[in-house]
Amino acid sequence: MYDVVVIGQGLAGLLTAIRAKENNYHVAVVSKGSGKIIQSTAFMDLLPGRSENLTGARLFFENEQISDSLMSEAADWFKALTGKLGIPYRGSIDKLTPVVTGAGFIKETALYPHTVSKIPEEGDVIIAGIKEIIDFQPRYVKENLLTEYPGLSISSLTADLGLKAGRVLSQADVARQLDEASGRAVLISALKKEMKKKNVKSCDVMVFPSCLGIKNSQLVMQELEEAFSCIVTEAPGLPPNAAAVRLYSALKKYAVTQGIRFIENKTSHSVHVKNDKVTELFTEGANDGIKLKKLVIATGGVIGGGLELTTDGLRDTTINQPVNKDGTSKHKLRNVYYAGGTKKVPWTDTWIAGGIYTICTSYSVPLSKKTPGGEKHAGMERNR
Amino acid sequence: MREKFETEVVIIGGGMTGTGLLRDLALRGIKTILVEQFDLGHGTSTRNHGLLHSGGRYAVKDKEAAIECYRENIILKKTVPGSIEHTGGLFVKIPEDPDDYVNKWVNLCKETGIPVEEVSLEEAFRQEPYLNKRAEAVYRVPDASVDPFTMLTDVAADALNRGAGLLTYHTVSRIETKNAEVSYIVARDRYTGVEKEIHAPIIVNASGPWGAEIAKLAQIPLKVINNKGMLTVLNHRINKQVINRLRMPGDADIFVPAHDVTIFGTTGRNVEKPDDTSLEREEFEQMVEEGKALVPNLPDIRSIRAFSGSRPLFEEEGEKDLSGRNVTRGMALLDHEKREGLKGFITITGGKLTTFRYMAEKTADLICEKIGLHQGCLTHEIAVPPRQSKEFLKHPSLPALAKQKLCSWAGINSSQIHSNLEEDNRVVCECEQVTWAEIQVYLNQSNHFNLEDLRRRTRLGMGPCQGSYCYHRTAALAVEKEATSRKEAAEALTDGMDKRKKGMNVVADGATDRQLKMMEGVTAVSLGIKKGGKAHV
Repeated sequence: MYDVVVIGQGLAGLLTAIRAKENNYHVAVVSKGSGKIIQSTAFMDLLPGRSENLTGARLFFENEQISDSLMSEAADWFKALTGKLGIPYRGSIDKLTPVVTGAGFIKETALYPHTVSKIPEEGDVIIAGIKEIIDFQPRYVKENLLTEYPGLSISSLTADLGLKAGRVLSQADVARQLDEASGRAVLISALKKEMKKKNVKSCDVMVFPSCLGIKNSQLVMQELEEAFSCIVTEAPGLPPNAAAVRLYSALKKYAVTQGIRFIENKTSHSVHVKNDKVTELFTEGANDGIKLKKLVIATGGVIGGGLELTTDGLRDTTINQPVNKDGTSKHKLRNVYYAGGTKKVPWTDTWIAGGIYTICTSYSVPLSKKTPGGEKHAGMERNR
Repeated sequence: MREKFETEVVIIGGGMTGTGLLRDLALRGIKTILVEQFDLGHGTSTRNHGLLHSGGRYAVKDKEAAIECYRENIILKKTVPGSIEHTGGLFVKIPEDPDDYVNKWVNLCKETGIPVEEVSLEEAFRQEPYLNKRAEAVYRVPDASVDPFTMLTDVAADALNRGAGLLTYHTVSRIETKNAEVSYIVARDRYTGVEKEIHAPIIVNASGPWGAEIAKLAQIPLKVINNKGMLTVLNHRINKQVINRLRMPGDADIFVPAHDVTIFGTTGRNVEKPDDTSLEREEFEQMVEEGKALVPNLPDIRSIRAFSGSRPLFEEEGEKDLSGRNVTRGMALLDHEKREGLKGFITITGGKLTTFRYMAEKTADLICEKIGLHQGCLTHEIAVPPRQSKEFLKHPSLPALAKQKLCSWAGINSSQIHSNLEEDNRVVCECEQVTWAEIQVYLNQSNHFNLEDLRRRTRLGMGPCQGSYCYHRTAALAVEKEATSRKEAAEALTDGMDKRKKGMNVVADGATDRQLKMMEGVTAVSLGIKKGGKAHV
């Protein structure tokens, strides 16, 4: 018997499980895949994929019964958590930060990983591509960035790490190379060679694809900043971005070491309901259900696969309960809670993982044993 | 001042017929320029099943068309070998189909000369596990699968090698006549707006669905019914052979295997505009419902995308048929000198992909007659260069799947691709295993960067991800390698993604819906590419 079972190991699932564990619950995470967090950029945008300004975004959160103080609390909690895991997030939900993407465009985000820095509007910038990474082309990034910030003076160059593989390499592949000292040495010397060849002496900011280490990102940052005496930043773009793999790995490792049970490669398909409460969760290939007290659905909506659009409308793929047109559940189940993008379909239309909304909902799933009446915690609609 | 060109023949329309005619005339030594408003095959020629008919489908309804199809089927297998897969085809009778049609069909096929072989049900189910187990009779005919993209590319390339002229992305804005005789056309470059004047004593209207519009430029009234058919691409190849329904041709009764997928269709709805390639969800759902007769679990099979194209059906003045299915699908070769007294103007329309060569032959014969040249057709004998290119098997550093693709793909571009691979051997489209080396070949041949043009030539973005990753990747690489400007790349990306999304949207449920949202998320959220922006042409 688990106190809390979370379905899904994306950002929402992991954060909710960690939060529940912090409250001394016996927690299990049931998942069929790796979570869409891997395909994200790891930026925590205020409202990913939406164009609301700060005021508009606040209004959105207000409508969702997420108060300003809850947002601040949740954001601080996330920053403290990532800090503890050695991948400290920076930034603020009150003032957005302009960051550069892997396509060279500027976007504004709330919280961002320690491998990312704000892009200045003026100064000398080097866009440093890596030959092995096909999804980051420095000249293309440079040209696009110049349309955003014409005041910048930008050079682009490409370092060849000499890696051989029988397939297309990604940012995450290169990041694993840079976790090793030898990989970092090769990158630094290749870059210096290119800079010399192109007669680029120094810069204020050096922009890399999102490949600056997974396990040892602190070391990668430190060595690169020392070698080039400048600000070093990642520009996440097409997945898989190292920033996302790094966040996922760190959260997962922490969750495991905290004693959260991971039941992986299990597709859940139905639940047993008694007195409007879910008592058991059934997964494919197992006769016995997983007994539980509370169930959190963190399945990432349509993109995450928890909801699926069929010819007969939306279908809930994980507990097989009837859902409304917007993806909300039709039946009132008193011990079922929702976290992250799976709450309502229209919001997940262009969401990948992440975002302050996910952090807030995961943070505020009413699981606290300590707070009496915690189940009425702001931000969590129970029994929708 | 317009630039002036002189030639013997101008062809308007770069579909399969026009392109086939370009090659036919080149082989006969007649100077020709083809003008196409967009890319080759923009119209019907790349918007079809890719079925090389054995003639079986028309045996009962239109014997003449059936004979033409079977003859051309044999000729094309020899002359365009790189584009045809000898899949064979099955005609399947299910209980809902009329019993008396079967014998009638078998006898007419035999009369027509189409080889028909009965296949035991056991054998049929073994070969085609998706086939409806309620099938009552199955016959095999020599249907085949043809790749219209490569066929167009190869036929055009061969014509160009033989001295023909080709202007793509040129709209014909005027056809000038003088003393009841054609004089010249004005063609406007869609990219630059620059106009060209092309003088020729013979102008051929091979513009398919645009036939009436082009004829109107020469003040010739022409009735073309544009009968739009919808098709959908299933995400894997569910059948080894073409599967047809053994009944009078109707909607949603053909499954054609094509490379790694199956193309299923089609419908028939008359539309007003030649460029109406709109897609209706309702039509798709009806099609899937009807298709269950042959493949019962069709609703569970993912569709990657849908597309539609219009059959240009010629209607002679006075004939009236609104359904479109019964108007002749055979060719119509119209000599407007005889019909309306305009010397030098010819329309070739109707017909089928399978009979394009024959349509070109007949048109070229008429042209020869008009210019008094006694030169017979050669296209039934002289093949286009093959696509096979085994040397890639030995390539030291190419991923295995990319090797495999190039071996059946590279053809005449082999040596160029080989040398491009020296510089860069990266695969840019993982679904279809397209290498940058291939893309570079086509970029060198074109003045413009257009992802959809590259798709038609290399299969870039044709797989399940529909360009979610490779379109951006290709655009970025092209800027990196200074093959295009930032602006042109951005426009090409907007245009290309919009076209991919259009085809995905209508079939977007399950995994395709998820892919579509992923594509939009990656573009807008991860890459920060702003909405809007205009398409370039």
